[in-house]
Amino acid sequence: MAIATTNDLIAAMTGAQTSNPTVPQRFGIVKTQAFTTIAGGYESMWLATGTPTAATGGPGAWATQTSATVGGLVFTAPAGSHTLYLSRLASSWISVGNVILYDRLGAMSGLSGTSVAAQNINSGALPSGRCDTTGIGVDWFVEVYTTLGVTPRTLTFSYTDDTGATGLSTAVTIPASMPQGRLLPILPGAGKKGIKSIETGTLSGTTGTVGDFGVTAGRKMYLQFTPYVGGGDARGPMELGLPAINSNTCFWFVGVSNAAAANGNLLADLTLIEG
Amino acid sequence: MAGINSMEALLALYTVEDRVDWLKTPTVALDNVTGTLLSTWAVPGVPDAAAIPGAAATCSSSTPGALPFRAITAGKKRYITTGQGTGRRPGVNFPNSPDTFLYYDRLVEAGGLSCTVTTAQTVNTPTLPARLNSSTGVDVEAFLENYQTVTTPATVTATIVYTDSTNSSRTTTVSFTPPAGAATTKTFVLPIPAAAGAVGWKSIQTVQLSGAAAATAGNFGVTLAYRILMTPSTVNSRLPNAQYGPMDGCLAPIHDDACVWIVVIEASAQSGGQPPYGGLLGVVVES
Repeated sequence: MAIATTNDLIAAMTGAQTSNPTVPQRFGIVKTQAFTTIAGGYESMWLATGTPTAATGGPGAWATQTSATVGGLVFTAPAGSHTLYLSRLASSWISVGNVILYDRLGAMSGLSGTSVAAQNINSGALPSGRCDTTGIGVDWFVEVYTTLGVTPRTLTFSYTDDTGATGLSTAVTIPASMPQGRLLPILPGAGKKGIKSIETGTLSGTTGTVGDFGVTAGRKMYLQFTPYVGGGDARGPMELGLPAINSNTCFWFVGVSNAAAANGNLLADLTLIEG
Repeated sequence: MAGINSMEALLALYTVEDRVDWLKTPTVALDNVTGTLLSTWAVPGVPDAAAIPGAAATCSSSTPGALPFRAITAGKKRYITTGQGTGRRPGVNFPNSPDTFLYYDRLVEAGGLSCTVTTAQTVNTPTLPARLNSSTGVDVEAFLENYQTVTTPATVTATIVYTDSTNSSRTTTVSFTPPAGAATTKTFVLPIPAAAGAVGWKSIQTVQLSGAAAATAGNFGVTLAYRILMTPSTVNSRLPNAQYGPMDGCLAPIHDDACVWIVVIEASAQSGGQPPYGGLLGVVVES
């Protein structure tokens, strides 16, 4: 049964459900970023060491990301007919800015910073039950696994939008020496609502270093504010919107910094309840 | 009552106050790098400073230094409904302001490791106490905990051999720099990252430094802990304030034998203020 009343919610938060009583799952997250953030930059914690363990790199060809993917948070699927919900998120980061909790839907890596030919991305189908598979509401990023070269370049993507229209084009600017862990949002072209899949990416020229980068899709679950260095925020089920969690959800933390900051810790509490 | 299964049940339990408060007054400067974690384990105050651990041992609510909840009778269970924390802007001994407060159940501790020994130092932590949801250690965090200052500190790599939640032997590393100064008690904690692909911590076997971390032995160790609650401050003021209630998702179960340990994250230096203090409000219900 789903959580439908305030009493259902309280019972789920304390493991006092009338059927299949289940103790909430609580996770202490510690991620240590090994790079310096920049103002306004999106920083992926996918390769950051800590708990959960760091991913060892990109997946190569496009792969759906799940809770079993190295780097994801391992949690227990709900009992019986229960649904799993996110009921608490607290975070504190070395940087002033935002901590965003994503469901990391899919990713690929192995693109070259020196190739000027169209490089295949061929993102697969978005995972059903975890997002709108048309791509509406899905965020797409360029994600760097090994730092790229010093020459800024335009990277043009060929993609399919939420209506199924193919061969569409959108572009991002790869900055000089785009470092490991940095993300660049890929936006749908003018007048478009969402990206369903991305087929290829073409650099306008070499960045000067092969590096390693790829494309990642994620669904935003909550945007949390870290109002100042050392502080943070915590929210309960009502503010979070009690989002239902798919058993394959791949929790992924992304930081957006207000200013340059040296390496440091991102700490978070995450609680899952059932009802 | 068979548990907290309604708002009415929760509100009814509020009629009996179940509150515990803490206040820490360090006697030495607890300087650290902004944003890192600082342990109050060996810091005087309420509760009083804990003894620096020696051989590996299990911690409990009766371990000196643990936050003293009142005892509850068998068959009952406590939930934290509210977590609070605040702190002074720095003075002599708290150079940075404490702004995020983490309440842990300190499960296992071991001290007495030397910063000058470069061979593997045996720790062999005991079995995790049976008060966790899972005996596999899946939700457990691990730390290097430093207890004493040293002369001529150096940054070294600490290699930790441990057992994960699947009973597999794992090896991981963390960069470690003990705090400088003439020998005096000073505690900070350093999260130890899990080995690639590993989940949880069941026990730690050895710690080996890549080189001498100091000219003097100092004293450091390892700690395994379960996070009960994290309460970040949202207000960057003279007295930062972290306060969260049950509908902020607190309602965290806490075992009657939990060794509640307070860890803080310090923000940038400010001036003036009060010693760090806070409290936990709980309710007790028949389980």
